[in-house]
Amino acid sequence: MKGTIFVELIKMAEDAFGETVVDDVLENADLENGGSFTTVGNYPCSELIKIVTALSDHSGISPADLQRKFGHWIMDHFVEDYAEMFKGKNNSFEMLEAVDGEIHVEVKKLYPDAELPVFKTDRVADGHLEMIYSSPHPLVEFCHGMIEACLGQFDEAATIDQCPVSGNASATKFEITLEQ
Amino acid sequence: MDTKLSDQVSRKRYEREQRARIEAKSLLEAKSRELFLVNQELS
Repeated sequence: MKGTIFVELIKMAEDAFGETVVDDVLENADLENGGSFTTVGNYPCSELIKIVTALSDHSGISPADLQRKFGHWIMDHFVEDYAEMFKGKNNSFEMLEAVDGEIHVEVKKLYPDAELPVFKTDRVADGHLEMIYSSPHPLVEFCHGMIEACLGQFDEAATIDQCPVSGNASATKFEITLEQ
Repeated sequence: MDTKLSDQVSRKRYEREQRARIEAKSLLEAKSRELFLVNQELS
């Protein structure tokens, strides 16, 4: 998983809990590299889960809530640091439809063998997008937060429902319905 | 919650940053070498 994700999670934690707390949490999270991450590195997702769990233990905020907040945080970071990704996108659905292609380049450019999540989209009706997220990693709530934040970026409001995908336990379907 | 940032950082924080910088530098060395070799093959 891309180093940016780790660096931003730690920044969010520092913003919320302060540097001293983050020092302690990283020190006690039993991380392979002692919590030293660079944006251009690539690290196992299991390390991210360890950090989320440790932050949850410290703060009492559930891992799911932390993941969702982190989804919002990272979308703001993308808007600042990957502004070109948003260029030419007129609404959240156009942005969400582009994620699969964009993420491939960003991850594969440095790590050609990296495993990738898949984001398959389908406009089932006007104002209704289905997005199927497939990944061996348990980051559904993180995705949910990013979708919420993406809608926010375009000043749109929608209901987002999570549904299981039959025959694929590592996939989740997000039903995104715009509020008219 | 103490969110105020002090002027000083902990030794641990400094060492994490140090290791991250070295890791990034090694990656740049490796990737730029790959790029150079691929470019040579092309020319």
